[in-house]
Amino acid sequence: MLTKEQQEATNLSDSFTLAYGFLGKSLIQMYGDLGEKALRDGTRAFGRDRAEALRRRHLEANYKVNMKSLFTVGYDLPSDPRFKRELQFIVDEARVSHTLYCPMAAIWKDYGMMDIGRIYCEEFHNACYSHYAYNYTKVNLSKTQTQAEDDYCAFNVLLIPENLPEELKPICFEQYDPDYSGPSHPLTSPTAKDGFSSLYIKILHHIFCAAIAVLGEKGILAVQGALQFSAKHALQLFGQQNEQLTQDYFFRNYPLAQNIEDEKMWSDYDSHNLKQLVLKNFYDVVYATIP
Amino acid sequence: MNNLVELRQQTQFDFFGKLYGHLALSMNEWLGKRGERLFRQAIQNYGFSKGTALRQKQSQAKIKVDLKNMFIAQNCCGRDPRFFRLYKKNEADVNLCEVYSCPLATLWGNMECSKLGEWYCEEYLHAFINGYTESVGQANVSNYLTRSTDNRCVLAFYYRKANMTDEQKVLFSQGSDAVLEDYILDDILLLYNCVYDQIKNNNDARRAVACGLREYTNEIIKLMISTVQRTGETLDEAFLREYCPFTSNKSMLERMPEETALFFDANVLVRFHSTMDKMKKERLYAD
Repeated sequence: MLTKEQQEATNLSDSFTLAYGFLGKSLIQMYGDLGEKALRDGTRAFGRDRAEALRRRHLEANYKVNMKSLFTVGYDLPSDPRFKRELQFIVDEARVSHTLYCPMAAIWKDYGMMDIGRIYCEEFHNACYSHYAYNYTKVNLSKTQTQAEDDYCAFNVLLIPENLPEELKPICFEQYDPDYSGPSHPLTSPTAKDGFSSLYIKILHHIFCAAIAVLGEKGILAVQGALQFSAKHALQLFGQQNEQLTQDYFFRNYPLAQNIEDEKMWSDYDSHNLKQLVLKNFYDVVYATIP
Repeated sequence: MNNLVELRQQTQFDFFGKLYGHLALSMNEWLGKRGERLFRQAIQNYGFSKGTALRQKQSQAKIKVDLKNMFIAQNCCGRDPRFFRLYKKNEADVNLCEVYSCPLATLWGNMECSKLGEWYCEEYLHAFINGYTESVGQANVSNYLTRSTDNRCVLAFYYRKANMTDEQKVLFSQGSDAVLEDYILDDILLLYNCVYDQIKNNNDARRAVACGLREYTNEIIKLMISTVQRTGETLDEAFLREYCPFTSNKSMLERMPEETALFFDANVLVRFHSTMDKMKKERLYAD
């Protein structure tokens, strides 16, 4: 049994996961291989963006840019109580871990979108973990729950000091930085609402930009359709959870601010009038149903 | 039970595994972390060159450039019968497999250099697929038998059409199927070339590599002797043609830059062939 906070966190997480699935499905159904290319390009850009943001936070707080920091210090993905992991080891040079249950894979499977989830696993992890350590990370994910053949995810993510140029060694590893004084302050992960909202806007932005880059103006149609579908689906899902569905409940459980103007991230992620597109195709659908 | 054909294949493959092991041991022992850095770079260059050459060869021969053909042509351990792999999925754009027996991991374990063998597993396949797919494909090596905590290699490779250039899509879609190639000698020479390239301007490193090559020569001489003893064959030209991947000195050396060739000749080939000649002449290991 989940607490109210946990239920909200799982709804936020699932809404993010489903939004990715609906975007991917829309792009591929409408534009085939080119739609897939846009999805893959956008997913990689999303991974690199998250990596850069995390690396910047780590450097500002004087953490070393290595595998231990990547996976244990202020990660931007809020924890989901349903994740089950078996950590083999985590040190500055490596993180070896099995994910035994992944709620993202499970939901993509439930909705018949494993092939879309597969794209996420293939493109996101590699782009994000690799980019975080200046493209020197070796990302190995040979098993993933988005692959029909696998029942767990096998992560083996390595940052080998001897593969780094001399100038990066002290940035990444304490042993090459004799004057290192340790982190200036601890970093925490965001709340579920803040974290998933940030991820949601980022992924939407990057897939939208990739869709326009690959498909031109017609890429907008696919994103528009996915936004409308996401809104209708969330209304239906939350309506089943709460008979008296209110905007307050909806937006506590969905990774977007209740009032779009309250979301500061749009100032950096409003390319090609994406904010207006979201307002018209997501918010208006929601507001029309729950005024 | 192994037959002689299998023994020939595995003996030839040991020439490669032993070269890697002795070079890695020597560079690690003499140069420490610097040796590791140079050696990892050599493996990266080796894998990338191999992948690039295979792609170029297949595309020129109108063979489809895809993961299936990559693994048919160069399946990691050649024809070595000790290599045991199961494919979970073997398609043009995705390959999932597990390796339960790897002669390289066993050999390096016997040489007590599994840790240095890990360098190979961590670097080689990433570089190879980058060369073969022009960095569009992806290698994932989550587990490997050289690592003490693992009981198998778990591998996944992807080469997705949506990520390809138009030219790559054509090469991926049109053409014939590949066949397994004999590439042990090519691999030996390429690995050596890539290592030499890293160390040629540094005297300490040259000395370390020379030590490794001399150890290697001792070991391949011993390998030939023990193989003669184990098979009851006669050490003659025919035996060497079957069990030793080295061709005549001249043709081997012509395949390398002059300086690189001279170094290999001085540290490996001269003594190996003179020892073999002496033993043949004196019929030391003849029936």
